[in-house]
Amino acid sequence: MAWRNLFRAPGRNLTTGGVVALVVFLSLVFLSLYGGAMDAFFRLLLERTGHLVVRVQGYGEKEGLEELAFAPPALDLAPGARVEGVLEGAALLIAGERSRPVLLTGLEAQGFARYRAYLAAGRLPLASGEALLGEALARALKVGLGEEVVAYAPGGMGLGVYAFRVVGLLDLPETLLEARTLLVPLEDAQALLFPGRVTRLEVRLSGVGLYETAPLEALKEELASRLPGLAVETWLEANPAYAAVLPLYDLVMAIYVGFFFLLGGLILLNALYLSLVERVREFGLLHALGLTGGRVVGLVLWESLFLVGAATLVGLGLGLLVHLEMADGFRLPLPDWVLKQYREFGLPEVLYGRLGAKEVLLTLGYAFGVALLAAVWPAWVASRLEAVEAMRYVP
Amino acid sequence: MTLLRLAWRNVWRQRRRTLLLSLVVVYVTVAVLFMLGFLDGYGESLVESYAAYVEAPVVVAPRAFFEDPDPENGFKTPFRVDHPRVLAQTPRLSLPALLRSPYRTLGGTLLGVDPGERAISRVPAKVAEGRWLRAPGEMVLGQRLAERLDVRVGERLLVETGEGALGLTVVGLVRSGVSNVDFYGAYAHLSDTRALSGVWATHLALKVSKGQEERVARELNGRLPPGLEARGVWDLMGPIRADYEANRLFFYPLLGLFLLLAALAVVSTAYVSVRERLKEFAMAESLGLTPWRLAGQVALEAAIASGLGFLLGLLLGYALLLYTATHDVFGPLMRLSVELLPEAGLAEHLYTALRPGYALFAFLVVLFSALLALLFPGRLLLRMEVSRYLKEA
Amino acid sequence: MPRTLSLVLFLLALALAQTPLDKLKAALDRLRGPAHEGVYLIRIERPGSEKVYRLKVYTDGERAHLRVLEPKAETGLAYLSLGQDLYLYDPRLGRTLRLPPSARGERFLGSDLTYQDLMGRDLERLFEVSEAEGVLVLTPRPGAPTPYGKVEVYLREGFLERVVYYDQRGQAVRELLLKGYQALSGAFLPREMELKDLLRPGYRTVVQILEVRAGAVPERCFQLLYLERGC
Repeated sequence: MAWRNLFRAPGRNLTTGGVVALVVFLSLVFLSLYGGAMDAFFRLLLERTGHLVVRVQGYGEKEGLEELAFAPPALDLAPGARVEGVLEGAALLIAGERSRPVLLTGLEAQGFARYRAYLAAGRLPLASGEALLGEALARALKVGLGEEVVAYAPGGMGLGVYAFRVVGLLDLPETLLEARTLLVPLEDAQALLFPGRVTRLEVRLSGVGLYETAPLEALKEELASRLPGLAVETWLEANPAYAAVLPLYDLVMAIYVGFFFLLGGLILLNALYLSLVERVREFGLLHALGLTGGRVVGLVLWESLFLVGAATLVGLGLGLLVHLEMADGFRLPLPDWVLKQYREFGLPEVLYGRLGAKEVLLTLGYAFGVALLAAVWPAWVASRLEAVEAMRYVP
Repeated sequence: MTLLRLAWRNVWRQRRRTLLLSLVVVYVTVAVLFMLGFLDGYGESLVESYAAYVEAPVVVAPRAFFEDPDPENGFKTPFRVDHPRVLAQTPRLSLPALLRSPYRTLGGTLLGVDPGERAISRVPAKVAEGRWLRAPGEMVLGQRLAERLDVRVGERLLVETGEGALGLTVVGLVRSGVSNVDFYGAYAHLSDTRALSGVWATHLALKVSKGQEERVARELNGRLPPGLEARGVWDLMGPIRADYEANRLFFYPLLGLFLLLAALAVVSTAYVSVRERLKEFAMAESLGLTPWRLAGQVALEAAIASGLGFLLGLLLGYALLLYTATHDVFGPLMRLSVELLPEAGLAEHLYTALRPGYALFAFLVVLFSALLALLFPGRLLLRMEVSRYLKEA
Repeated sequence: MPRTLSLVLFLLALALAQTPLDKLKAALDRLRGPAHEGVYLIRIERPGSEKVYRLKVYTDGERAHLRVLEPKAETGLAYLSLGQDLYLYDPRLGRTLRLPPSARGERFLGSDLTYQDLMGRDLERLFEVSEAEGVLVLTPRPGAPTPYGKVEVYLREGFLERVVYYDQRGQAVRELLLKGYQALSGAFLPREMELKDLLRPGYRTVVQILEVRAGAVPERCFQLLYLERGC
């Protein structure tokens, strides 16, 4: 009966259902969009950090290259896991009359391979004495491919000064990072800063999901026991500010979606009450015929659930369709200049929608909750109707 | 009986309905007010950060410097701007350099300033330890930068460029609550930076009344010598401006949608109410009232019903905004953002703005309600066959 | 009696006429020695390891040209110090590079010695000299690009015997000891220089002069061109 009642006020129920469907749809699209953005940020972070990072114990308090750089031990890892040594230090990059402070990073060949996607010009370094510069840095120093730059890196144990030839230019998302990026072969960095040493080891595993921490923790424990004096951290532990965002994200999303559903719920409440008002006499009759309070409540609740259920299905269907489109890649519907600027924060121009079971369940949960809560008061009113009075109701 | 009083009485005939739809309107009005206040608060916070701390309300520099920010492109000789709306001006010299303490080395940008630039910048007022600059040979650092470099007040920091090096004594640390200043701020005396760079200044910082920045920049661009350019604070902001604009582009339509949906709720109630009173209306029409007048009455009823919610929403909404405009509710969120994006120029607190204009935008709900009431229930009346309903009576 | 008195008075006057800065200058002059060429041995001691360099040195007391002879892996590495300017030639790079003036405080060949210890006069350039109880106390001049807070210079009979460097927090961080001054054609040269890192036990660098031949050094040794090919 609840189901059939819905069809009796098609206009209003369609509108209300439409609103609920819209709310469900918007919530799913919204969650997919934000999920995609979050993933993009964290993926970039993971790409740069590696799954595990090995550094000197207490590196936060230690100072100077002598304390922070260590001779890299051999890590016997399972096949499929790659280790890279990195040596980093602050330097002044000088080209003719101009100089800029940079972060000089010495990488191994596989470390360079990861930058192939960012090469805007030239090629990756193949031999000693070759370097990659951020485009913004090259612009600031007024150097181009094939030209020479001199790196002066004080405070180290090596030569302290070295010359490089620019063989490639990098286009990184963040211009400010680009303006201080100098990538050189590890041996050159070592000659310049500290022969034979690295400031960190990056461990990268294959086949590990973006937010999967279990395999990382396991490997971390195992390595930590074998490496005295060194600290092993997962990529999230190595970036505590980002790690703090993750638990907040779920909460913030739930609140945002909640605001949508609150509106939907209030509109639903209105609709349910109106449908009650239109059928007061009918309810009175039902009451007189023996449909008691509890069952009337049930009737109203089921009406609400059916309405919301049908609307949710529609919203869900449309939302999932749009999400599937987004999962293939989408651009935020914002002007080009805004997207370019967002890139500066590490947000790529193309995002991929992400919707997990958690998000769908959140939406369904809200829909169900709203259906129940909005129906509570009208149901109670309906159950309290006096049969005779109701049957004689004139608006 | 005037239309208004009739409409008012009709609205109150069905108190429960009116109250229910008021809930929707109140919610939407409060949401609209709050979001607009939040957005404006965000914008104001950015303007404040950039105008009073990171840059200046208006900056004048050689165009070449804006395109290629190297001291080489700065002012070689002293320059002053002449404009009635410029309240104060001061030269600044931005110099990329290596900052070295005996313990750590970091790259950064040294800003050479006139110690008396209090008139334009709030940074000198935010010294947390020690004091502001007074003479050459001194420098002031952002507190977080000093922590990263492990340098204390009274100690010397080495500043190196390709041209030369200086040992400057740190006389003070600033804590402004603005990320760029606290994490990267390094301030030295203009004459020291001049010695290291060979130019008089890289740019001029101008003080202008709040809200006048873009206008003054435009006027200046009309009268500055060729090769020089003026930029207002919004053009100096950097990528964070895009986030602000994106939020506006996203929220205005969304709030509009909210208002529309609330109006729909009002109208569906009006629809039911009209359907119930069709006989009444038929009688009124037979007595000489035009269908348009009746439709108008319905629209007015819808407007009043939503208007009640709107007024209550205004009260609650502005009360909420008043609270969040004086209490730093978003502090923790902002502090996390500052940790994540220290170069964005975000501040550690965010207060909502409070403007009467928000009420105008929220008033759309009343307008939408009246319009939609004309379109739907109103149309019922316009198409009504009077005779049919009178017969039933 | 009157001659002794006048002699005493003369010496006294001489002693009084020497300002602390003069004393420092004189001591530094004696440190650098006369124009000479020689072979220096630099032994870098670390806990559990040791590295030894043999260097060929050409100097005229003001300028210096150093070439690494051993270990074989670094043979050909050469340095040229011309007053304020410092140049480095690395055979791996095949280029001569100029080091900024502030690089003089950097480690030489990764040892505890800095360029300034071997061939600079930063002590008189960057510091103001005063005297307390027979010890020269050096404090940085305003704007001087040095990380030190204080330097104590101990002289013995006008010779630099011991130099202690303090950081800006009052802690002694390095100690330079000079021994075995030998007379060499009218000037002096310490046979041994020891540099101790006071913050890290077991970190020490010792410089010994193995061979030395006093006499004028060809001018071409102080020209950049010859940094690469040697003189």
